[in-house]
This record gives sequence, structure tokens and C-alpha cells, in this order.
Amino acid sequence: MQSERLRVLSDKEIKSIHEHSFSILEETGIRVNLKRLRDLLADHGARVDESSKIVRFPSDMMEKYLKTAPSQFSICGNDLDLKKAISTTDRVWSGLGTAFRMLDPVSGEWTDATHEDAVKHIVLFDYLENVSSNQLDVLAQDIPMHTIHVEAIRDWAKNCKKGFGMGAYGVKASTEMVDMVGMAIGGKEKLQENHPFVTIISIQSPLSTAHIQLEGMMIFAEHRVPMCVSPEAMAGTTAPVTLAGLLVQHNAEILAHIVMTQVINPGTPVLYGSVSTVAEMRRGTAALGSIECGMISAASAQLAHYFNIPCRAVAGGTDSKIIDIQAGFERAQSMLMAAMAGVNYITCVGTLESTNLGAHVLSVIDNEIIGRVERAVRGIEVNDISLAADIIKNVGPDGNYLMESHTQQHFRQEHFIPSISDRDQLEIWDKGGRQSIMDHARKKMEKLMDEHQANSIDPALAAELDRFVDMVKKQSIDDYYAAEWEE
Amino acid sequence: MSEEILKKLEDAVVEIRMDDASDFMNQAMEEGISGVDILNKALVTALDRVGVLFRDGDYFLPDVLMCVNIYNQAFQLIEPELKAGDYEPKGKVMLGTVKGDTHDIGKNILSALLQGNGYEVINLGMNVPAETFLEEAQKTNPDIIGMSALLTTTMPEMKNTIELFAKAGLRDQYRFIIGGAPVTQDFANQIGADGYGEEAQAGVNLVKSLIA
Repeated sequence: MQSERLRVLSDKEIKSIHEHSFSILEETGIRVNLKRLRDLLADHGARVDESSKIVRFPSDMMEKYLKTAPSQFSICGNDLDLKKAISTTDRVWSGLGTAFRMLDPVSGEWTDATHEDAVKHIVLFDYLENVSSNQLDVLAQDIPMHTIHVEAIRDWAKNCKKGFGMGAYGVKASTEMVDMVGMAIGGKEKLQENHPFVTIISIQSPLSTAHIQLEGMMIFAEHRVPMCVSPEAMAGTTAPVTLAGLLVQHNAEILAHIVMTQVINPGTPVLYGSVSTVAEMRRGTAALGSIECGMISAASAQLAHYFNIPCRAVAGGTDSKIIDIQAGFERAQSMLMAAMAGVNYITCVGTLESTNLGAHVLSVIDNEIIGRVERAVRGIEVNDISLAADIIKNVGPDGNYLMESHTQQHFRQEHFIPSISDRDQLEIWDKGGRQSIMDHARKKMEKLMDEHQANSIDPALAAELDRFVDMVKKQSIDDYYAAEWEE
Repeated sequence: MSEEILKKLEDAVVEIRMDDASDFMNQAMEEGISGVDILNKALVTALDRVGVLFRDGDYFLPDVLMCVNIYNQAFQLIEPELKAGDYEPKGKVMLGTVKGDTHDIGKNILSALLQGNGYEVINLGMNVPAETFLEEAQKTNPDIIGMSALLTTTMPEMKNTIELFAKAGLRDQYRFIIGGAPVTQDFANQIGADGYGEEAQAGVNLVKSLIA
């Protein structure tokens, strides 16, 4: 059977957390920093206090709109036929923003992430078999902030067949993202049914919202772009120090945001997102490599599935700054927990330092860890063939199974076969130049990069994308602010 | 026509399609294609391709062993014809796991790979006493005698075996090679063996270098 789901909460505890979250939304509410959204929510049953911008959500309104969130949809790539199901039982793996610095694993030195790094990352992801899409994971520091989204979408359109996504950044940038992704797939109207782009709506904990994120939410919901509504609540600073307390608060925040997406456009695809973790109690920073982060991701899957809504959670984070044992076990532990708990969209791949520091070679290593984790989740298949009683009788005492056709027929499915982990004996490893997983991963990465061919896109489309980027480049950051809606 | 059948046979061996390989083998023989052509233009070329797939990491031991298994079955069908002609195997290798040791997976892998490389293999199995190595060697006259051990406690049996051959005055008639997890080049030097391979493919290369 498929491995049992990891459960960190009992049914009774899940219910209790939801009840407390509902009572917080009804009594305390959350601050909604966007006038037109407050108006819309008021029209649909929310109690709005305009002077404080606090919106309270009656439970019946919550119940009503949580039901319109789809339990399943599919995402696709730049190639629209590259479909992946998103539901409460499926699972895909994706990148996670945003590394603004890159580590050179050989020297141990870091540099600002460049446009070249961003492109390399997009290309690399296209070839990692266990990773379905990437976000704007590498935040190039050599591109002006107000053009970074259009540059990224152009790079994606030209180099990647898989899906893409990025956070919501205000009216102007979000509109441009929709326009440009629409352009890349042959028409904005296609976004209603096809989802090559998944956006992250970040939630401001505790119990608040980010103005530019809500603007993005309204624009993306209109076009049915799937949204991950995700807080990065930290137990001890922006959330109660107890994990249960954090879950009550972050659950209230997420459910309120899901309801907002459904009020804007019922049926729009949305994921219950979590980037929540514990605070580092010496410095007050987020510790995404904590074991509790894995537990919170696991609990989030349970809380989301209670409403039959797919869950996105962070996993594979580490607080290490170098590629060491800490970076290894922290990423593996949370990836395993998130997957075993049934998280449906796991964002993780290729970062250090709580996702702020990137390293290309780590994406290749994460791809291998995902392969191992997927094997564990798949569980142990038990049937007449896999039980192999006849084979055991035939081979008998002191025999061996290496030459059995049963072995040849099943080893690829039964065993996860590593492509970069080293399993050689000492002498062979010594003769082979004492290669580590880093050496193997680098070799695999170089091979993938060498073999890469850019997408063969229509020259007219390429020119259209270039014109769009040039148009945005000519504008200034002031144009960006001028487009904002009333807070 | 014959080339087409040989190509199909070669593909079936490489792709581990046992029934197809058997069908194409029969077809090739019915069409009167000579045993030497079947061997050199389909079976040997198939195993060459398998070797490349193994080297590049696309094929694993079970794949290689199944291919060699299919090769052996096919080979048996043409063996009488080959022996009647002037076909000669590349060499004859006798293999055994030494007395007291019942770990022979590595040795069997080497055996299969050697067969796949055109060598005749006499596989004595495991727990083979020095006397049996000597008797069988005199009977079958191999070019090379390969011994394996997985236990440090059975490694001295390799030395005993070579010494028994020396006492009988037969040491220099054969080349002795050794392998197994605890065995090292230093140990090979100590006991006066002619070669050591740290894994099966290295063993094949060793045999090639000693017989060439």
C-alpha cells in the first residue's frame, strides 16, 4: 500500500484549531489594506470597519466561500500539454524564492545573484525530472526592481518548457505578468483554463495583509491564475510561541485569504499555503531549517485537507550557509515530512540560509532527495509478484537473486536508483578520484546545461516579448507607484 | 534479409526481450545464416552495446546478466556448429570461491561478463578446496584461474591453493587472479598472484590484459 500519511494532529485537534481560527476571524478579524477589496467583502457578508480597515468574517460567510475553492485543478508548463494535477492527493515539487545571493560551493564565497544566474536556474529546472515548475527563485540584483518580472517571464518563455510563477507585486507588475504570460501562451484568455503560472500571495502575520499582495490577488483571481496564499508566521515573534497557537493564527490568516480569492472570483484555483516556522529565539529571525517547520507544513496539509483544499508548503529549507551536513539533514527532514503528510505543492528547491542564498548545484541534489522521498511515499507494493514466494523457493538456500529475471524486471520500480549519491566501495571510490556527491551533481548539472537548447519560439512572439520588456524598461519606479490602488 | 534478422536479434538481446531473441535466433538458423555470422554480427555486437550501456550507467547488473543469459542460450544453439568449424573462444577461465567461503555473487558477475566478452568459463561454484582447483585445472586446462573470497578468514585459502599448484610443479602453467571485498593489490602481491581486480569489470580487463 501507499505509505500511511504522517499525521501530527488528531481529527479532534484539527477541528479545535479551525473553531478557534473561525472565532478569531469573527471577533478580531484581519486588517485588509485595500479599499476596493474591503468594499467587495462588505458586499458579500463581511463586517468592515473602515476607520481601522479591519474586516471580520462571519462563520457562515467563511463556510460558503471555502466551498467554492476547487479541490482539484491542473497546472501546466509553457508547453500547455505538460500538465500536472493539483489536488489533495497529488504532489508536485517546485522552486522557492528568493535567493538574492548565490554561493560558489567550491570557494565558499557568495556574490549577488545576477541575471545570468536567474537564466541558469530556469534552464536547469527544465531538466530536473522530479521538479515540475519554478518560481522567480533567483532574484537578480543587476536588473532594476521594476523590470525584474518581465525579464524573468521573457527568460522563461525562451528557455523553459515547465511552469513558472512569482509573487504578486502591485497593480502594474501583476498586470504585466498576466499580459506577458498570456502573450507567451498565445492569448490571455487561455489563462482561464490553463495554468502555466502559479503566484504566491504573501500574508502579513499577525492577522494582516500586504497592500501590493492584495492588488495582485485581485488581478490574478480575475484571470484564474492559481494562487498560493501563504504566511511566513514565526512562532515567538509574529505568531504565538506554541505551535498550536501559531497554527490557530496562521490558519485564520490563510482561510481569510482563501475566502477573499473566492469572493473576488468564485472557483479560482487556490492553495492553502504555509511558509510558517519558528523564530530563531536569539535573533528573532525565521528558521526555515527547523524541524518544527516540517511539523507545521505537515499540520498545514491536515488543516487544508479538512476543507478539501490542496496545500502548498515550504520544505527543504535550511539555515546553513554552506553545503554541509546541516544543509543536508535540514532539507531532507522537512521534505520527507511534508511529502509524507500529503502536502500537494512543495516549494523547496535549491537554497540555503532560509532560502535567501542559492546554489545551482543544490537544485540537482534536491532533485535526488525528492526522488528518495517520492519512493518512501509510494510505499511497499504487495501482490503475488512482489511477494516473490515462487522465486524464493526456486533460488533456495545459498542462492542469489541477481541473475533472476524477476530482479531485472522490478529493480527499477522497487529501488530508488540514485544518480549522484556515491555508493562505491572505498578502493573503487579512491581510484575514481574520491568524488563526492557535489562532484557528481556538478557533472550532471554541466551535462544538462551543455545539452540545453532554447525553446524554438516563433520569432514574431520573441519580438513581441522583447517589445514588451523594452516598454516596461522605459517606465520608472514612479509609474509603478502611480498605478497603485487606494489602500 | 539476413542483415535485417541479425539486427533484430541484436536489438532483442540488448533490450532483454527473451522470447523475441529466441524467435529471431531460430529464424536466423532456418535461413541458413552461419553460426560465426550470428555470433559476430548479432550476439557479440549486442553485448558490446550492453557494455556501453553499463559503462554509461544506463544499464545495471541485472540488465547485463539477463543479456548475458540470453546470449548464452543463443550461443548454445550455435555452439556445435562453431566447434565443428575453426571457432576458438578468446580464452578459458576457471573460477571458484575458495574453501570455507560461500559468497559468490561477485564471482558469478565476473563469470557472466567474461562469457559475454567471448571467454569460455568453467565455474566451480563456491566452497572450493585447493585440491579441486588442481584436479579441475588438469582436466580442463584453463589459461587463467580466478579465486574469490569475501571473508578475511578465508583469504589465506588463496595462498594455500597457489602453494598446492607450486608443490605439484604446475604453478607456472596458469595465471592466477584474485578478487573479493577484502582482497587488495598488496595481498595479491604477497601471495604471488598474477593479478587482482577490485570489481567485475576490472576483472574482465585483467583477463583481457593477461591473455592478449
